[in-house]
Amino acid sequence: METRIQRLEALLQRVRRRASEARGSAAVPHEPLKAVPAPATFLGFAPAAAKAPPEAAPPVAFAPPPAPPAPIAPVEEARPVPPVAARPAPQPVAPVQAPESDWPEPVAVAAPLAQASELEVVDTPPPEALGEEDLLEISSDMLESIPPSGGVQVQEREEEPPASSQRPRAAHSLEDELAADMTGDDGREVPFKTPPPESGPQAAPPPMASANVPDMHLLEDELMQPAQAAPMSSFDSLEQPFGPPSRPAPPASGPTLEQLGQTIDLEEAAGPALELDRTAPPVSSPPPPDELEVPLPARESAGKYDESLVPPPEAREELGAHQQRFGEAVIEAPLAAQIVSVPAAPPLATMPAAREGAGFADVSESAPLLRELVARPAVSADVLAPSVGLAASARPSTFLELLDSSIALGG
Amino acid sequence: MASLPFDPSHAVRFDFARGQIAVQGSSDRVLIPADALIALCAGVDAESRKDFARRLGTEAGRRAALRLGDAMGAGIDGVVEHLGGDLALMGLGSLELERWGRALVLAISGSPFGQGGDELLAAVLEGAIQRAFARDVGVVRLARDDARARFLVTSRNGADDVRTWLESGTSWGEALARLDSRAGRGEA
Repeated sequence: METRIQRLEALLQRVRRRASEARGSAAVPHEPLKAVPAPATFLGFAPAAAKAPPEAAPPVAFAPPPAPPAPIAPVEEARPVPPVAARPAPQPVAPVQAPESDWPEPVAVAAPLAQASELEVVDTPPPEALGEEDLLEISSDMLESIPPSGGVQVQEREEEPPASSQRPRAAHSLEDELAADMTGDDGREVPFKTPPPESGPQAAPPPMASANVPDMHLLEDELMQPAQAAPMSSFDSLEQPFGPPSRPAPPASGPTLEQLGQTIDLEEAAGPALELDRTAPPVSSPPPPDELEVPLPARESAGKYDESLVPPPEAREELGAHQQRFGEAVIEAPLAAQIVSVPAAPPLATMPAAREGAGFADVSESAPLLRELVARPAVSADVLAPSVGLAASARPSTFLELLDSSIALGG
Repeated sequence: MASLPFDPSHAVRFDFARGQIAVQGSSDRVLIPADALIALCAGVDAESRKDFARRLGTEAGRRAALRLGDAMGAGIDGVVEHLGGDLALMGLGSLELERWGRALVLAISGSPFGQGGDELLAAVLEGAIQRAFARDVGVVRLARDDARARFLVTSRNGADDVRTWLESGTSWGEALARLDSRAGRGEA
């Protein structure tokens, strides 16, 4: 308490000093304000405090300043140091505690601005900037309602900035204001926003305060008592016919009641404990084929032989020499049973008779068993007919030679 | 002359993202039902069908010639390998080569067109041979069974004669013998 008094005294001294300086330098004439017939106490309000609620403020009158200088001058001159308990920041109108003895005397106190510290009270606009509506008069009726023991205690209702207002929140006490002045921090939260690229450095947002963490106990209490929910505001009641309010909840408020209501506590698994076992070795599987590759089917003629194929006549000598060399027995079998397969067949499936120039007429059923034959599908009976009359010709070396000879047939 | 075997790897690419099918070295392809193509070809005149089929064969002959390198000096095996591979990529069947005396006979088995598509196959072979070997040839169908058709490759005049003989009831073997005997006498 003493420290407050000391601070206020220092403030008052600085006010006096500023006031004396203003007298010497300021020559701006001030418009006279309207006079009040019988004012008991005058309270000069700054423009920012002019919108005090009527129930907290006394009947309004207009008090003329005693002189062109600031209205606080008479107070300073009339009384040495009035005990003024000012709460500058939180309330637009600071409570003024008048002296006990002569409280009915006119006391004019310049209320500090909502955002200003106590030192800025001196810098409030001069009286010429005050309008008639900026001054309030406390009538005698109101003064009678004030308890005599505590002196004049004007308590303004705390003005809350509207939701859309960008005004910063006022400090709650003088200590907060002083601490804010000393630290240079105005107490406002740095908004969370992404700075534009060219905006340069920006103050980093403060870390998540513990107050933003939702209290689980409070949330549980709200869940247990849904009927005691806060009444809807007028806006909520207006939005009710059009569905639930679309305004999102503040991000730091935690999960909503609807989200918590849908939370289901899952029980732990009751199954057997997991046991680690050696896993089976991975089976090496062929890599999956590329989706853009299409496997082509194998040729049907590959690895097969035609039953009706016969060896060329000149091969009989070689075959006989081979059998004599290795002493293999010649197996006499019908031609239809001589089907032998080889691992791979040449890609060109031509008729051996046509290739080697031999006709089917040379084939006899008493031919020996052959080990290597070229596979070809069975041919119909009419295929065998023209082979009789065709003359044998040498196998051409190139396809173009065969093509030319065939073209020459037609002329 | 030995040639490298036909390698169908990465020959056909299905681009599922863009919905496109491409054969290596050719323009975009379309997968359509074979019977729908036959029905479409049946509605146009014979010359248009032949031009359409020749264009298909030209594509196959061009790719075969590219793979063969020296197409003029390619062996019989190599030509059947690569030309048959390209025709197989087009889904036209499996190509085989037969030599009857001096006559060149190409056989195609497994054609999706069936008997009604032999005319298309003949024109495809004409276009392929003409593009790959720079020879103007005539291809006529000699015979067909359930899954195999034989085509004689000769000159245009010889193809017309053989077609006439076949239409008159001559067997295809007799037609080949007559063609060979006529060439031996120097009447052609």
